[in-house]
Amino acid sequence: MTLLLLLAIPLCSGVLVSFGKKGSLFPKILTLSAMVVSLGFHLSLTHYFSSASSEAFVVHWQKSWIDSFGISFHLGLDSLAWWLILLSLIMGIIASLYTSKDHEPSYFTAICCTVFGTTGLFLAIDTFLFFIFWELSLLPVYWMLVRHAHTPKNSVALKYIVYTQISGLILLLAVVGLAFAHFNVTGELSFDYQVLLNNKLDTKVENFLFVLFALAFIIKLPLFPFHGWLSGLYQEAPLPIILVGVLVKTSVFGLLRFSWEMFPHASEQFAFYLMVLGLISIVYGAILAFSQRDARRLLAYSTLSHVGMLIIGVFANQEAAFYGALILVLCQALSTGGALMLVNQLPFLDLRENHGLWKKHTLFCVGLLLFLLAGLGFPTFGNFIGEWLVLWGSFVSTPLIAIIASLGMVLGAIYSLWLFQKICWGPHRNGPELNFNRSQIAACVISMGLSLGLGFYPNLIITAFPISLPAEDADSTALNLDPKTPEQVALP
Amino acid sequence: MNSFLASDLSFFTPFISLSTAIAVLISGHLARWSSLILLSLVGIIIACAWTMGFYYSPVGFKVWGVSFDAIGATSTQILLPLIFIVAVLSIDKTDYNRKVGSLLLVFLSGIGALAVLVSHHWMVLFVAIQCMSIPIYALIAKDANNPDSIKASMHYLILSAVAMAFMLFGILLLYASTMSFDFYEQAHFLHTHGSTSPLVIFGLVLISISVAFKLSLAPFHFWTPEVYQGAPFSAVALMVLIAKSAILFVAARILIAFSNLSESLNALFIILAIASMYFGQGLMLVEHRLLRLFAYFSIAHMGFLIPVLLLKNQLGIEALFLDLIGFSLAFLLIIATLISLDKKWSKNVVIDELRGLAHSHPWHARALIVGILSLIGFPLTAGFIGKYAVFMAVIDAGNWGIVANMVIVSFFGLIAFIKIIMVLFAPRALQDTSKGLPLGLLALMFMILAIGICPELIISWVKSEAYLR
Repeated sequence: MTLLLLLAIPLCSGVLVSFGKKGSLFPKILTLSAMVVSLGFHLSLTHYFSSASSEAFVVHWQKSWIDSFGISFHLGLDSLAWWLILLSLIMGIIASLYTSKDHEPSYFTAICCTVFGTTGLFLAIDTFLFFIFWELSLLPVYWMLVRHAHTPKNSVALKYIVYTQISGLILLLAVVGLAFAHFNVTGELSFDYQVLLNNKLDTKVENFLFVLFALAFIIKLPLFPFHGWLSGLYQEAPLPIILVGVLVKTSVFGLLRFSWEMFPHASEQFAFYLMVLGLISIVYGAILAFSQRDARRLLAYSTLSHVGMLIIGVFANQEAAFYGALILVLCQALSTGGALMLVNQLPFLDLRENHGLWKKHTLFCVGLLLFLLAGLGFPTFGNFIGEWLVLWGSFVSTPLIAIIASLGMVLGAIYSLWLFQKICWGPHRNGPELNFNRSQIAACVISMGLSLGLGFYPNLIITAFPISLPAEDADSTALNLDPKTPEQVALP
Repeated sequence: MNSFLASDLSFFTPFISLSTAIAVLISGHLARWSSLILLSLVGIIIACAWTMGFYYSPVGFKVWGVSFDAIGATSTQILLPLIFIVAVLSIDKTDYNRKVGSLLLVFLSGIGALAVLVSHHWMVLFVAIQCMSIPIYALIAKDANNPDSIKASMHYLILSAVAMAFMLFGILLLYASTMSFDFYEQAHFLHTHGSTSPLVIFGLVLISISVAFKLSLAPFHFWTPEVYQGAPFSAVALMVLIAKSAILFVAARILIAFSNLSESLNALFIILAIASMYFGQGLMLVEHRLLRLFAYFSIAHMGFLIPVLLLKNQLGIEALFLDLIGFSLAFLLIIATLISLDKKWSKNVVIDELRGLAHSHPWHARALIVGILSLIGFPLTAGFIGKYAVFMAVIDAGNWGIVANMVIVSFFGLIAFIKIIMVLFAPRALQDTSKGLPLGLLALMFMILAIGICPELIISWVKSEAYLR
């Protein structure tokens, strides 16, 4: 029941909000308070983790749904899901703070529904339910693109919808295929993740299904060959923070769920190729970012570059790298999202010339600098810890990839600082007026604070909720999880 | 064959009720008494409700070349309400004579469709198909002042007649080699005597061609866009929802009866199916006329269903029913919404005429969006359940090649439909007065969503072990 509330609060408030009036404070306050209430409620769920139970999913809620197909409404919470739900709630708070009250109420409904969809996705144990929430979490984004895009350019929305629907359909095939493969082996038709986990699939079938799942997730991430929708979306979408903060994370979550645990052999076989794709994304994303003329597009491609690092973390099959990936997921959302929140206030700025905002808008520039520094992996920010753990972990398993991947930090520095330079330095001109109201500043401060907080106390994540790692040979970089002696984390 | 008892007459309830409705309408036409129309409609509702309960425990029962088996029962249950709704849609608000006339024609066509569903005898099937089609020619040409309608009607009439001639020839060839008109007797005969006779194969191919024409599978699909564009909305609904579904269901029965023999036809049908998918969905991409777009979609949709039909197993038949329920509801919702917009359409019915509908008629736009999402097969709509069942059936049979084609092709359709949704949201200077959605449409919309959220409602209804008996 407790889990249902996590879903019900955002959904109900989303419905209520849509009755609000445009320009009144009601939608904003309601959305914000719903997010805060859910957050408080979510934090109270931590007590389930304290008991040392061997089960991965500490809370369950199950109800029969489509019995004929072996589908049930099965929710469950594990530590990974807990962290990602926390992230999506924080993003919901930041997004609702950032959104001006002059927007239409449906805009706030979209925020609530995104949080609802992603929370459901993180909670779903039934793979079919996972798919349903996967699609549901996309609907609000479609809505924003079709209704609230900066410039009504249909091609962007169309591209995004087609890409994500391709990934959705592939995911559906994978889910159905997995259930049927399991059915053929055991004679039991079930979509339950825990039942499917103990599959004894044929190597060929396992490989095929893994490729389907991985394809679905990396199209949505996006990884290198599938990044066509990325830049246009960041340029057009009115609230990209929701996208970076939440939607990219759903695919990472999917990859974590449906890789090592579900298909250990196939993951081992394909890990290298996926890491190579990640590598290409890091370098290619950075190069593309550098050649952009629009700040939002630049940040879009920086996300591509970051996502490459994430993939390497997920598929390095080392404990340190897993933690690194998890920290990166949280911190990238905060840093890139923060930078986008700032940049979004600017009108189109041609990055080929300097704009010199420093003199007039010093605070803005300092904020932008801090977010960019966080994004490029500067120490004291959480991203640094994440990238470092990923590189360390992958260095143990695949040294060459780690060495090339570390290029990403250098390239990141180049394009981020270039962006900063073009916007802030140079002779002062009659630049744009920047209007940040108090709640928008609060949104930026919260992201910055959290990013810094994770940089100083990464152990918060590493020790509080140990992730159950499936890989047996992953202990060569096993972290010392004793909370009293965090300093013992050392290079191998 | 069982001996015919008076109590077995109750199997014919749908026919009797529809015929009574027609009789009532004719007398009403003479008396010009419009409440009779209402009476006949109420009669149909009662018949529908009664039949629902009656058919719930299907018994294999054959008499006079018709068999009330499980497939016949479930498909009758699906089509009866559809016939009713299409009849309501076809009522012309302006002209009393036409009002009665189109109702009559829809009911007449409905009787034919119901007979098609239960026939297991080639001659009964032939007559039933003609009975179903002939009123449609008239319905298409309802607007006698519109030369396009007349053209479409003639087009359909001539091509349909040619296709039926093919079928008749095929039937006779089959008769010549088996000396029987009954599906099951023929199948039994061919099973015991060997089936490699070229006459039989040729006959089956001819019949397949005429069925492919009726289902508008590529390359026999050329008539579809022409005819749909010339036809009034209600006639399009009748053709897509009732005529095609009826043929599809009877094709399922024929294939099951001839399941030993029809393996050789599988390759032919698979080619037709894949060609239809690509033709239909591909042409949707470049089409800007609404009715033609739906015509192409229906071509592709049939292409999706043929591989399921060819499975001839439990899952396949259930998927067929589930998909057609979802598709029919969504299509009805769209057509009904277009009708209830009650606007003056241009000759071509271009998509652009819907520009900005979300601002001027928000509820109509919502209904259209729900319908379109259901046609695409978006989760939590009725259409998704059907699409899901189709994929499940094909994956279960291990036909990953066909699945791959379905996936590729569905994106063409997706793009075309999303473009329509975007047109709905496009900014428009003109702000019409907002108009509410009729209650029936609201109910239909709610039903699509309800089935999508609780699919167990229709799955438990459609699920039956008796289909393959």
